[in-house]
Amino acid sequence: MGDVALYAIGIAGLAACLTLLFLGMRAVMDIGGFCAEGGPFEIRQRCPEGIPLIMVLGVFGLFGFGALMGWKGAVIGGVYAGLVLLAWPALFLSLGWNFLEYALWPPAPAQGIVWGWLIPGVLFLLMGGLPLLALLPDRRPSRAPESAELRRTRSRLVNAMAARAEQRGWRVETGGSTSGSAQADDLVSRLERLATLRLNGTLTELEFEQAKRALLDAETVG
Amino acid sequence: MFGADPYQPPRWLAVVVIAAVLCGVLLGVWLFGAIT
Repeated sequence: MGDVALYAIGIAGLAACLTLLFLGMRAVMDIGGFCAEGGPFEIRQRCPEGIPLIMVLGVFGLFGFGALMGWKGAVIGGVYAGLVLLAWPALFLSLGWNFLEYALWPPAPAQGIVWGWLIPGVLFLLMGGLPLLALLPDRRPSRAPESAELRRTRSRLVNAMAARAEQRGWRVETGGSTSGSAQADDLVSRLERLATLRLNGTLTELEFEQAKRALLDAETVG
Repeated sequence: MFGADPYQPPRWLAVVVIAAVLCGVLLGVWLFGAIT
């Protein structure tokens, strides 16, 4: 239970830090996109009050709470271990949105499109969005494609061969190692291979039919 | 990574996660207002 509580604190802290960075960035962009505080310098653009503290809190908190979330998530296990990685897209997509919004609709003195903000905006959206694509479910077949059609054809062929073998007096279902059964199994496996070749396009329908005929004829003669 | 671990923690944890995110965002907005 303590693990879950600390995990929740990590998530809430992380979300709070992301929110602080998002709002802090907007506050700085409102005054032109840059500001400075402290040091023995003459400062042209001072920061809005509290912004330096917010940015420091946000950045360091991001790592601190993120570490807490990752640690306790790993203890909990399952999908919760990797959930902290979503902070990356959350950070870059939200800050990227700020860049885009201020690039397309800049505050007062600026007009039109601000290219200096549009480019980082697009970059940030790519950096945040592309890793999300990796989370999409994998639609590709894991190994050689075993389609429903292939399975149906195979079972049709196997049934037909079993019936044919039975007509010839071979005992297919007995499970014994009679030569007749082995012969039928061999024939069936050859026909299965042919069907696979047909379905993956190696053989045309005509070639498949010819090969099947030849196989069956050879079996009848033998 | 995701889904690679066969262990499935209880469902109510998802509710905790969502609630924690919402609380965190609210906390961030409040903090921002309080500091600035």
